[in-house]
Amino acid sequence: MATSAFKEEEIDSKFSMRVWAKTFKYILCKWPLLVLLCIAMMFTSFYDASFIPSMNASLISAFDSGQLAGYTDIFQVIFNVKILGIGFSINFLSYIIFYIIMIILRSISVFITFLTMNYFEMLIMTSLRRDAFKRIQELSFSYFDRTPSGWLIARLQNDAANIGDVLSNSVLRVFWIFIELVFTLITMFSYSWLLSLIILATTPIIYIIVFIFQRWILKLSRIARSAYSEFVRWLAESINGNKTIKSLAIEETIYKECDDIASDVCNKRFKTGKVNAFFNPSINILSAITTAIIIVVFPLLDIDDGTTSTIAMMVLFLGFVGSIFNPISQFAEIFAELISTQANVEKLFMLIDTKPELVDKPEVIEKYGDLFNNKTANFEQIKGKINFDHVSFSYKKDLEVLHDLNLEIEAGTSLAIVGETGSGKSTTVNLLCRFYEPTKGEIRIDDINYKDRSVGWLRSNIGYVQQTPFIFKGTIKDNIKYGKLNATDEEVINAAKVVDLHDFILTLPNGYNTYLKDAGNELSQGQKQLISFARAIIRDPKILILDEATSSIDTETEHVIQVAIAKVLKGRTSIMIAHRLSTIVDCDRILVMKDGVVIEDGNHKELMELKGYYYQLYMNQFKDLNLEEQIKTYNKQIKDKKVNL
Amino acid sequence: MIMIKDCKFLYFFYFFLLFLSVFFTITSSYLNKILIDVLQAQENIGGIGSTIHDISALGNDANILTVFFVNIFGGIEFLSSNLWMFAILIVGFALIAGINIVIRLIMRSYFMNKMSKNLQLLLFSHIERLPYSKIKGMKNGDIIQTCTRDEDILRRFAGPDLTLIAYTFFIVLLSFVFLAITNYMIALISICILPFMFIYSFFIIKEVRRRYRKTDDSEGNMTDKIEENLASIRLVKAFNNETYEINDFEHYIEDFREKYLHWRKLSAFFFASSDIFVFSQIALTTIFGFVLCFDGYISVGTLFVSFTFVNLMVWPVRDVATVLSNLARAKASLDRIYLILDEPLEDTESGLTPPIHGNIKFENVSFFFCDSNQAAIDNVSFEVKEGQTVAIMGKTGSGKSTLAYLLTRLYDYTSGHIYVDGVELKDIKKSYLRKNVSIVLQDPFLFSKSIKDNIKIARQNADEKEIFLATSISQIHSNILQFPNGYNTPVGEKGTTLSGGQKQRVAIARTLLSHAPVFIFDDSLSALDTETDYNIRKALKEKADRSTTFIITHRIATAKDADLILVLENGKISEMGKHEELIKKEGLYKRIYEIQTKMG
Repeated sequence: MATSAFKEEEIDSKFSMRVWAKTFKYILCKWPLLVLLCIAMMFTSFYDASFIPSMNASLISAFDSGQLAGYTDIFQVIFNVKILGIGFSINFLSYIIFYIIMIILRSISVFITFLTMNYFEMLIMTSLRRDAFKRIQELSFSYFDRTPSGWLIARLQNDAANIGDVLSNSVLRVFWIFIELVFTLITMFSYSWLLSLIILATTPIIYIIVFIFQRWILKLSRIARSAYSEFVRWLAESINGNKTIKSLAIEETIYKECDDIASDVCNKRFKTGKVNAFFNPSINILSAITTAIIIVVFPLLDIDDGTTSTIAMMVLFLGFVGSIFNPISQFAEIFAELISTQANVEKLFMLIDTKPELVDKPEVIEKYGDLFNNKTANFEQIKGKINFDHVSFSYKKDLEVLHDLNLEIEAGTSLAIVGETGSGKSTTVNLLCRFYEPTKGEIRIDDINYKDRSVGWLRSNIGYVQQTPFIFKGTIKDNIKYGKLNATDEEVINAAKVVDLHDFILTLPNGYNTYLKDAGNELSQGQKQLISFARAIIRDPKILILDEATSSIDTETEHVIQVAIAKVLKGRTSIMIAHRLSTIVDCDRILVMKDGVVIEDGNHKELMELKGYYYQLYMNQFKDLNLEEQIKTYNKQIKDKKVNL
Repeated sequence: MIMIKDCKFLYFFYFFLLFLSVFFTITSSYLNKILIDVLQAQENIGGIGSTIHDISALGNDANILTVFFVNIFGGIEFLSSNLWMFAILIVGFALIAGINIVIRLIMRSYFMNKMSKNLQLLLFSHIERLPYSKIKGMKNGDIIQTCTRDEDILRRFAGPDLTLIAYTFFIVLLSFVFLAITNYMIALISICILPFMFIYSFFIIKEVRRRYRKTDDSEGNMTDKIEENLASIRLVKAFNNETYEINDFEHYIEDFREKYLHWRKLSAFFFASSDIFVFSQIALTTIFGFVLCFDGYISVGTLFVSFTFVNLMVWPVRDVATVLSNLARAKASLDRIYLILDEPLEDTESGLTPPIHGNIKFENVSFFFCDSNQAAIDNVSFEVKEGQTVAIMGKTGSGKSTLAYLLTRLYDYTSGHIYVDGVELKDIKKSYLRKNVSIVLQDPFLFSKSIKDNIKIARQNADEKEIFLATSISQIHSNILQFPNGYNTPVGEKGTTLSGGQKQRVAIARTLLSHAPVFIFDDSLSALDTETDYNIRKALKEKADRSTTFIITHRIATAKDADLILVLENGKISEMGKHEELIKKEGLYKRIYEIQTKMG
């Protein structure tokens, strides 16, 4: 449903070969199959457009030309067959055998045709998805800031499937129809060029009718479709909001809305249906008129090619009217489909062709490998010292969110950053993880600019815990192992023990192999967060980043996490973002940020004594206690932390 | 039948027209036969254009139908000397058929869409009025599927699918009758392979469809995988697991590829093999027709017309097998629709409407979820006076929200009594109750409308002054004014995304506007920072008409000013009293209090 939030793009009515050429490369690399497909299509077309009419014509001619007169035994009758202008004679038995063989051959061709066409569909679909998925893994964060995931899913699933379908069922079919048309034309002209021209004379009219109708119908059905997707969106919303609807007792109001929207869909669909109703009949009438013309002119013309009788000729050409008319209306239909899919192709390739903004320098890739192929042998041991050297950053041009940050974090120490939303604390962490790169200044890890080492090197040394814990579909073990894919069972258990999750996991019926689905809703928020801690710990990272990792947890669970954090931080450089101050009072150093600059820097004791912004934030927490309690709690703090005021 | 209730007549008339249409198609083909026979006879006599005087010249099978048509259109002498009559007849028939099709298609479009709308409305109004406990038990995705996909399948079945079945039936019937009147042998030969083809197609298509479903499932798994990947993209990158993800995705692609080819192999085989039936039927008719013609049983025209009829029959028969093998799917869709429609509705309209002031008394109230034998609310008793504030605290799952839902009758208590101003809660009309006991849900839901429309959704006639008052109390007024379009800013899926706290405050304003004598805040203040939380509570207290207020919260600061604090543990009240009393007792309240004030 996420895609419906986007307005459906207007149709680009011009067919663009350039757009489609990109998709053809997936097909062209399998050219032997294409050749096979081509042969199969040619045979099928030959059967339908040339063989069958010719065979029937020779049968009917046999009666007319008086050939039958002399025979008493039907098996002695000789048929004069003329296929594609080549004439030959066969007896009745051979005629039947010929017929049967051709039917079998045609079936084989049809089998090959359908299977290869579908194979191509699958090939395009999976190749597009594979390429797009790979590209998504490479893209930098700035891309995901701009692009909703619903849009991406729609590209990968709907568009890729659509394009595969259109290419195999439309483009290849156009080709097929074209071959069939060629065979029909050759067969027609080999019998009588005059009648052929009469039939062809009407085709421009059909083309115009078809063209007008297709455009009209396409436009209307788009309107109807978007009305329907609006209905589905509305429906999903109303079902999700059911509890609210009930508790506000507004069922009547909502039902009225439903009526409005459903009526809108109904009316728009009906409008399309009305136009559609005129389409096929008008083609049928036109083909009847053509048939009538042939009947009228027929006796006036002297048509004789020597082997085919007048009646056979008549029957043949009545049939040709259909064989010419059908392909043309199909052409138009397919063309309309192609144009409506063109936008999808463009959008999907927009994704596939996006260049990642954040890539390592060639010499770095040379030494350390790229994202997909790390040369871990060349990775240097990390100590964990971090320097921000005059670092500034802006997500959008001219909108700097971090101003000239200078910061040195000693290896093995813990740093907390506090501040309001928009103060630049998340940006600082994002830069450190190299989700983004500084727009000015540089960040050094162990005194080396991190751009001189690979992204893979950096990330292999980082443990990262985000605000909302993420649970992958899989077992608990899989989820922990996600931090270190080749971890042994022992390592998994150790990681779980560090965060005090081991005992809990053992109480589950399947222990570490408990399968978590529905985003881990079987677990509490706190347990989920502990799993993500374990996931970060199993990497044994030198740098640990907790990005608001305790925000979404209630007071009691927070206590458990607090204990886990204390254990986890040992021996690592850690950066913690928190808005609950209770989590950070024990950090070696606390940074207070506001509007993209550091305004206070020191440990809890120092900052409290400073009586500045941090002091205010801290005191705010007691705001609602009555005076007596405030003083009591505050004094307790002072005693515990030896703050000197 | 639920589908066609408003358009029964139209529906049957539609099928009548379909029959007429088939009849015209068959007749006009038959005219071609007569034309050919006339031409043949002319050739035998002395060349095209010569006049035929006797109808028996049209061959041995110049039967009653031929005689009938020939006589209708002016007799054999007239027809044979005026071949253009055939041209006019053919165009005339095509015109009539064309008009018929136009009318038919418009009718079909009309009743299909009408049906669709009726069913959508029927389903929605039913779903909307199901008891909350029922809806909670269903998956939203399933409900939406039923309203969209199942509805679509039924609509298609009632429209195109049934049309095809009827069309095939008519065409086989009429072709056979026309041929049988002309010559019974050619009639039998023309349909002899059809039953075998039908049975063959019916069964093989079933298997094709089974394989298709597997492919579809596999594609669904792939979508899940992509969704998961996108949702966890930060982790993927932070852990440098890109390669792992790509390899993992490759498994899904491989699985899809395998299932897809498995499916397509059979479907291609189906088309190829059923083509053998199709063309064998055509070839058989051609060859045997020839033999019959050779032996003088039928005329060349009959040979031609039987050939045309076979072509008219074979393709729809194959397609009808496809549709019929799909019958189970339509049946399943219908079942799913009835699964919803058969659920009894919640009765929101009967019961008492006593004046409600806000005196509430719980007396030994217990509540069990239908599938559980452990009480979610266990023997709860307490009493609140009009205008008082009650805070409810407890761990997640202790029954806080459930208690609130009992008051609005989203759930109905199993035993005990709840009295609202002395009236048993269960006797009060639900819609009336919910207008008077107003709850702000923990996860409030805003509709895709403007902020203003959202706020006044429950009271459409509220004026601006009232709205501003409500938004001021809920501390959102100034925020709203900062939005580019102020109160007309659209929210929800299609508009501005509000933060969790902003949503909460809009929802609070929406509830306040109802001026209900009883308010319930289901943990709705916790997404707000302490200051806003405090300000809202302060403003609520200062409000002129004080309502009885229930506040469910985790925060001691929020709870401590309440007239009564309930602490729930496993559905039971474990502690009850005022803040000052509770902090003196050992218990959960004191523990939470200590944690929250200790600050490290």
